[in-house]
Amino acid sequence: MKRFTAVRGFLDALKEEDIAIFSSNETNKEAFQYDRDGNFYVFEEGLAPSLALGMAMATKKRVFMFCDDSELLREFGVTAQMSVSKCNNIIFVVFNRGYHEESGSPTIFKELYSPKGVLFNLGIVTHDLTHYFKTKKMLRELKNVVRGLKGPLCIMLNVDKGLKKGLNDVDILEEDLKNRMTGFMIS
Amino acid sequence: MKNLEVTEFWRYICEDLGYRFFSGTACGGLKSLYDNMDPMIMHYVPAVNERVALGISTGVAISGDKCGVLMHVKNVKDVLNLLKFNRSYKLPILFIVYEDEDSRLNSINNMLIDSFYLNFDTLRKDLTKLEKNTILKGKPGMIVIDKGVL
Repeated sequence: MKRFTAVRGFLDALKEEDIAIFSSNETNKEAFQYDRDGNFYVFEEGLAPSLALGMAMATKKRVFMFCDDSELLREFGVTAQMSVSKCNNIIFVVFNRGYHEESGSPTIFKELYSPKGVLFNLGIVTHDLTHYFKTKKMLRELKNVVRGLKGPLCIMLNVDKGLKKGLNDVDILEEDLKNRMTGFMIS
Repeated sequence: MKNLEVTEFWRYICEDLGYRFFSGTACGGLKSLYDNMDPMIMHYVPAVNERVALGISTGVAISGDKCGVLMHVKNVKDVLNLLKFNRSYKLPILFIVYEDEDSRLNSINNMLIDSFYLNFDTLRKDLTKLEKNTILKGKPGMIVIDKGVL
């Protein structure tokens, strides 16, 4: 499964009022093809996880943060912060590609003895929902599963190394995006 | 000259200027600020590191609240690259930083101003001067607290 397919499937499963934060250039492009008012795109590497946690603290809406395994590893401290925050509306969706997006170099994520165990010891429960993307029937079931999720939680999705090519850039001004999200958060 | 009362400082920042949410990291020089935080007028989230502190505050700021971060001046360089986001998305964050003889802001002065347009001012005895110089310009701003001022 390509990451683009996972992004599309997961966005489709979200409730209308859910907030979705995307990190990194290519993930942002993939999500922008299915843009909605609750989407927010972050291009600064390493900022999105803590930004999502701050947003979760400021709203009652559920906040889904989508990032690659490489970013989760870089900002691992955020998971501890997320755990102690006791925010029940923050959910990390981690695409386990095993490769860094920009450079294509391998990450150590797949070599960890048990990523779920590491997160569990920090107080974060992890679910692997990859199998829900295997058939259309399962994908429909994913909707019910996602709609019942409560944080703090980590969702793991195993995706291929390859990325979708030829996608349009995120075509929205930063200030407009911020104003759109501010309005969405307080609505 | 008598030192500024910490409670007076917080009242000014929280009630007069409207900053209600703060995050930050442990700093011995800011101990009096941590000790005198009033949960009735502010909310403070201790963070695992400075990048997370800035991220959390920025996330809360997107909802429209005014936010600040507390840290030691030597750690400001760790978050400089993230300030590009605050500038382009127009999300001003108030930095309250402590400096001592060993780590002066002066060494990174020019980089802050040139690259990140981060206004800063050193806290002296008169709080109202800060308002004019630092905080209310709609950009990330910084209050530098000298040793022994509070």
